[in-house]
Amino acid sequence: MCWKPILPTNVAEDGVYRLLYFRLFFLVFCSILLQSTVFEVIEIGGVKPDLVLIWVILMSLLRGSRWGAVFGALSGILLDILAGRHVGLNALALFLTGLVAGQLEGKVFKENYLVPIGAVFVGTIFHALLMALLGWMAGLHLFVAGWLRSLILYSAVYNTVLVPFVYGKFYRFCANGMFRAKQ
Amino acid sequence: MKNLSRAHWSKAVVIIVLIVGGLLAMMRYTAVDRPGVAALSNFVRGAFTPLQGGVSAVIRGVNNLTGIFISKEKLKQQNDALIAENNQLRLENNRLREEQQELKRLRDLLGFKESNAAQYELLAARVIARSPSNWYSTLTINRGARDGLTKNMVVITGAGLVGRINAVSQNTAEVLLITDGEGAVGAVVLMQDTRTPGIVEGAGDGLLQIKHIAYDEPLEVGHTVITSGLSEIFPGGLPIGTVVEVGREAEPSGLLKYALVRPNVNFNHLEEVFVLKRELRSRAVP
Repeated sequence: MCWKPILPTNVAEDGVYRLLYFRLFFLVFCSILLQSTVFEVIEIGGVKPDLVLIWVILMSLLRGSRWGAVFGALSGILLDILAGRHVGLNALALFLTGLVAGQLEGKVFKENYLVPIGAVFVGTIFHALLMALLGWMAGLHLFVAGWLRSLILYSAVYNTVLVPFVYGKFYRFCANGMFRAKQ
Repeated sequence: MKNLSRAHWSKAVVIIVLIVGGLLAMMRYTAVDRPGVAALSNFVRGAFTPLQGGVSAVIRGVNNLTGIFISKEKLKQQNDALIAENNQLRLENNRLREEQQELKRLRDLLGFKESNAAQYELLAARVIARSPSNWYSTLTINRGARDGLTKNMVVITGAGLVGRINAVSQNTAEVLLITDGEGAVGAVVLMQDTRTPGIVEGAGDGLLQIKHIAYDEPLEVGHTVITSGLSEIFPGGLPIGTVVEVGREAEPSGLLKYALVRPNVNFNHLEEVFVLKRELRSRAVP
């Protein structure tokens, strides 16, 4: 994990990073759009896939804690502003999820599909428990035992099932800008 | 992490603590309504709404298209069943009209007013989006301040209570569903002789719950739950759901019990709703 400023200091890299930031923002924007419209059709037990959470965990896995945490916090802020209440709840939960999931970076073989699958499964459970805890601290009624159990189970399985379909694309999506900038 | 110097590690911890602390503070600060947050939220929602409306329209189109492929035999069966049901409903409707007339005469005689629901102007609205998160139960409808909607207006369907308006932008409104943890509703459970009061709140998994009911209340599975009318927001008499489970609360005395309620409204397939826009006549206490 390296704690350099998130924005590059090298002017030549600015364009590449700006493009990457734009791509990531576009990705999150489209994911929220899908989650708020199309995904109602594929809900199971009132639970739909959480694409934003999947991206945050995969980003952390690919680029480490710093990227995962910042990407998670900014995506979460967007979700919070859209909800219009308890701004910071999603941001904090995704920030901490990204921070923790990023610890895997450099320690595991990311090209093995089992790694992102396991990371998303565990990361989803971790995120759900965090949300329940933070929601309880904020005075929200999120900590309803039966509901939480089914939400954790369904969302963990649902998010994990999607990983094989999206991991390769996300890897290339990020690699296009990110690794070029790194070089 | 192991390559970090002590200074860098300390710096990282400080940054993390600051971010966590800042976000926690913001979370607490925005727990209650803040005009600034509402304005920002409406602005962002305004950017999403046209796209959400477009995508929802496409989904509806696809759903309509798939409906064409329903087999002819199935359609015939449905048609027969609907004709039979229609005849039955016509008979029932005539009987109810008679009874309504009689009720009106009796109410006029006694100085009673009509039911609360009949006192409101209804505005039809289309559902264009849902909460992107699994943690909140909200809907976005295609009516807003321009149509005269304001916060806390009640939203219903023919089946019963849906929720209340939580935020309004120029062209859209966010509806907080009764299944949301924040969408508690004052209610009574209707029984043959008694009316058990309680607060209905989201229990997750699409169900509602009524907590802290006295142990000796004669509450049973199958009882109907309606709004009590004691709330300043929800008028009385709106159907909420049906009791599906009654149990004892897990607390030492064991003198209280809870009830799980299945809402009448199927929140997964809501496409159109009605907003109780304004009172047509003042509510009078009988």
